[in-house]
Amino acid sequence: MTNAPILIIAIPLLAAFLTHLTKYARARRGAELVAFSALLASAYFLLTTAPVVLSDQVIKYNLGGWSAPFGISLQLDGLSFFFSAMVLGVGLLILVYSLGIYLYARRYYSLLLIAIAAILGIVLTRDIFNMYVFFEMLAVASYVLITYKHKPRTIIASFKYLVMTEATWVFFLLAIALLYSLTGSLNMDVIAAQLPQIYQAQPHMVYLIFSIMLISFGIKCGMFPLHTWIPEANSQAPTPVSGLLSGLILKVGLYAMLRVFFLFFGSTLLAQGVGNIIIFIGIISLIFGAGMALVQVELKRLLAYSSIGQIGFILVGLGLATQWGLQGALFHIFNHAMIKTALFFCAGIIISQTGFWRLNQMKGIWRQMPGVTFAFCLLSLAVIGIPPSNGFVSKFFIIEAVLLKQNCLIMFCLFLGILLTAACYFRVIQTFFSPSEFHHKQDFIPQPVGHFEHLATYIFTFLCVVIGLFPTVIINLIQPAVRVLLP
Amino acid sequence: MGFNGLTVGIIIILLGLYGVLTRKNTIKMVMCLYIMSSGVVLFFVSLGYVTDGQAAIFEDGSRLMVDPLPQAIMLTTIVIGLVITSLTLALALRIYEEYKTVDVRDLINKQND
Repeated sequence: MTNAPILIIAIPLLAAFLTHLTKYARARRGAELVAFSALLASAYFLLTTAPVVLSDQVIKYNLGGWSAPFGISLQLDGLSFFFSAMVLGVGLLILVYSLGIYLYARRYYSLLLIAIAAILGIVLTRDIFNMYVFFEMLAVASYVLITYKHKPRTIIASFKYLVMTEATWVFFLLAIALLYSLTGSLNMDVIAAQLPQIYQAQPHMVYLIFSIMLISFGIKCGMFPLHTWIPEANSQAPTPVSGLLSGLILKVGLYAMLRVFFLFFGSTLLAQGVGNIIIFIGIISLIFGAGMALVQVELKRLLAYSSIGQIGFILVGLGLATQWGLQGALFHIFNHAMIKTALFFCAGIIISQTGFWRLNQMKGIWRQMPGVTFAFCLLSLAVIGIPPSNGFVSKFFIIEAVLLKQNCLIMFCLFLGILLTAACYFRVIQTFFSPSEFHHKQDFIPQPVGHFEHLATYIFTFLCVVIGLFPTVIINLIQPAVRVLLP
Repeated sequence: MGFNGLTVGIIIILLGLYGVLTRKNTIKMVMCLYIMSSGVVLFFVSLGYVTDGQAAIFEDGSRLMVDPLPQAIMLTTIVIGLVITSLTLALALRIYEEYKTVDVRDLINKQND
């Protein structure tokens, strides 16, 4: 029908290699220009498909002309469209932030483009093995991006992330092998059509595959017992990479959960109440993440733990598997991608302008940087979920879903999580506004921050407030995605 | 259930996992990761194995053949395994250059200082 699905992935991937060739070009900012135009072109091709996709039609593209069960097929439906739009939007603003720091850094832009192309690939593919390959591509790009500044601690963080993830993803490959031996195909539609019969005959195999996949995707999205790589990697990585990790890479794990679980196990396991396991894990992640964020002394580490808590909130909505729950989960994925990336940007600006890592050294910051402090306060309100912000709307949807389930325990835990989140962010705001003390020794030499970093942060903050005031714009995008998940 | 490629594959994966979890040496952890990856390759290729089967290249009529798809996708997995192993070894080397140790316990101590 149209070539848009493959072009969306292929353009950033091609541009990733072109950025290295800009060494031979005369243009002053060749790599940046290539990266920008690639993402904009990709976004253009995504937008051309919007009228078709938003009217609940599906665009299929068979790679190499081989039809569905034999070749790899890509599919652009409501859910893929929603995630692709989020990835390209947040990716563009991460690029804007990077412009100020990494001048002429071709290798950095190349890796960033590979990571974004891999995320788009995961979102669009309809072949389970192809999804695995794109996940590994994303992982390799992110391991190198974390170590980009060559600080010794980033290398340990990256090594830890690598060993944990790869050891788990070997088992994901094993789950693919089991699915292939049971169904004889790697195409997700074929597998989904056959799994209910297999569930009748061999339920234990389906449970085994589900648990392996829950752990594999869980390590990517940072649910509770598998979260240990997040604080280290997110707090040590360069700021735009922290934004990429917390904003997009964690969301990819959630996307894979939404797509694979609802397609494969929607009519069997999820109908049998397996979603309760996901709700349980989500609640533990929420309380653990928010609680640990409360006692952190470093600002970026606090934000990283808070990410785990918000992922827990999303998992609760996902596990409920109802109209309201999924709507809230998808909306909160979108909001959290924006809010947390922007919060990391604020933290990055504050840290590099003051030369301090720890929170208690940042007293009285608001005098030096009123704009960034104001943005941080607005974003904190959004992440807590206080009304004139986008975070309120998404949390409201999830709580509405829990109310419809009439479960007091989940409700209590959610409110406890929100209170802990509020406590942790109010503590940061209080530190920013308390009387300043200037006798601390700086951890490193502060660097002035340019306009691009501020621009990206303010655009994010502005969008958070606007979406909070006019949430229907995003809800109209989410409705087709929910209809894909719950037919 | 015979002692075939599937069982050996699972045993190799679990041996590798045991190594990743218990070894304290970063280089040995990398080796164990690669062992896990090899185990899953053996498992997957054995899925498509047919006794006395031949490669799926036909010159005269249909014959007994092995499933070619697992072999094709395992080539991809071997390449990914190579990339991951070389990247992990590079990181282990950088860790050694920075901290002069390959022992994970030493690393944790030095990091907390």
